[in-house]
Amino acid sequence: MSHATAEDDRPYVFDPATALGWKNIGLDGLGCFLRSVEAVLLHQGYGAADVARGLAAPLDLVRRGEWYGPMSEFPACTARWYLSDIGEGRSQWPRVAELVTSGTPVVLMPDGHHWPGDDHEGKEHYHHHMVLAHRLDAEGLHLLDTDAPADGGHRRILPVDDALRSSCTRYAVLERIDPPGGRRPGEPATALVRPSLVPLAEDIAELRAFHGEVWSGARLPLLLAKGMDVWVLGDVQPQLFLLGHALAESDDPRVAEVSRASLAAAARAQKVGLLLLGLHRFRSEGVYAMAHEEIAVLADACEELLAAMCRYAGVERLRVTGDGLRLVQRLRGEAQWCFGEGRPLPDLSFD
Amino acid sequence: MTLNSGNSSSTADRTVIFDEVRKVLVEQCGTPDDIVVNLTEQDLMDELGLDSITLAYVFTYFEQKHDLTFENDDIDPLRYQTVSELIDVLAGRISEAAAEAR
Repeated sequence: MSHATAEDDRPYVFDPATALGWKNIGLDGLGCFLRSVEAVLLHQGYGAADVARGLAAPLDLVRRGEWYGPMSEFPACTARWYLSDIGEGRSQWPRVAELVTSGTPVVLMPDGHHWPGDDHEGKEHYHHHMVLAHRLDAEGLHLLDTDAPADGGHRRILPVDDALRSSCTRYAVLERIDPPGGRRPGEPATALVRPSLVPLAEDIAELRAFHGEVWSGARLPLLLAKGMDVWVLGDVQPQLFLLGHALAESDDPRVAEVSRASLAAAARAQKVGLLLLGLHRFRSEGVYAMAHEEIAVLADACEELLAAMCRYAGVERLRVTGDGLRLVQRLRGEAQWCFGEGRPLPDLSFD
Repeated sequence: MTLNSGNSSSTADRTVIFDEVRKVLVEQCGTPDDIVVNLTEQDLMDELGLDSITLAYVFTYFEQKHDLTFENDDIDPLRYQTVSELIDVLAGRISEAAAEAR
C-alpha cells in the first residue's frame, strides 16, 4: 500500500519566483540557513506569505542566551541541531544518510575543511555555510545551495566519499512543523510588536554604544569581522525582513507602517552585511570606516522601526542605555561558533 | 527612477562621478590601477567583475558623501550592462537629492 502524499511528489527547490523576497541573490532578506528552512516549508505547501508568518518572531536582534548557532525556534517549527566535535563528522554521516533516504531533509552546516569547493577546503575547520540535503541516490547527496549557480537552480550533487562523510559535523532537522495556512494576515501583529518593544530599545542602545564607544572603525581582526557579518546577515537582517513581511498584508495602517519600517531596516542591514563581506575581501583601511558609519545608519533605521512600533502599541518609547558589551559577547560567541575550530579563539579586540 | 543616459546631469558632473567611482574602486576595493585607468563608460559591467559587494561600497561612498539613499536594487550588478548605466543611476540620484534640497 502506498503512503505517497502530495509532498512526496513536490521537489525541494530554491526558486526565487516563489521564495520570500528573493530578488537578486539568496541573501536578499534571508541567509543560507533560513533559505533552507524556507525550502522545507514551501515543500510542505507553504506560500511565501505563510513562510513569513511562520518564521517571524518577536525581535531579539542581539540575541539573548548562550546559543550561538542559528536562530532555531520559530512559531511554525523548530530546528533541532546535532553536533559533533571537529574531526568527528564521519560519525554523524549514517544518521544524515538515513534521514535523507527516508525523505527527511537535513540542513547541513559542513566543516569547510572537508567541504568540496569551500574557500577553506583543506585548511581551516570553519563552519560558515549551510545547505539543504534533500535526496540521496546513486549519484550522490543532492543539495540546495544558495552559493550554487542560479542557472542550475542552485543545485549541487556531491559524491558520497570520505570528504563528504567527514564534513557532517553539524546538521539540523526541522521538527513540529505546523500545517500551512494557520496564520491569518494581520494576526501576528499582536504577537510580534509588543514583545519586541523592550528588546529592540535595548538592542538599539547596544548598537549605538558599539558604534560610538566600542568600535572606532579601525581595522578589525579578520575573524571578528566575519563574526559581525554572521550576526548582521544571520540575525539582524532576517528578523527584520521576516517581521516586515509577516505584517505586510495588514489592513491596519499602523501595522503597515511597522511593516514598511521593518523592511527598510532590513534593507539597511543587508547593505551593512555586503559591506562586512567586503572587509574579508578588500581589507583596505577605508572599507572599515565606511562599514562603521553604516552601523549608525542601521541603528537609525531600527529607531524608526521602534517609533512605528510604539505608535502601534500606543506607548512611549522606552529609554534605556547600553554599553555595547552584550553585542560584543554575541559577536565573539558567533565568531567562536563558526570559526572556533573546536578551541577558544584568541582574544578578539575591537581596539 | 528614470535611466536617462546622462541627460539629467552635465558632462562635468558625469566626469566627476566617474572619477569618484574610479577612486572607490582603487582605494576601497583594491581594483588594479591599470583596469581603472582604462575604464570607459562603454565597458561592460560583467567583464569588470563588479559584483554586489563592490557596488555596495561604490553606492555607500556616494550615500555618505552626498547624504542620499539608494535602494538595495541599485546594488544588483545584473541591473547594469555598461558602466555608463551605473553612472546614470548615480547621477540621477545625486540630481534628485540636490533638487529636493533646494
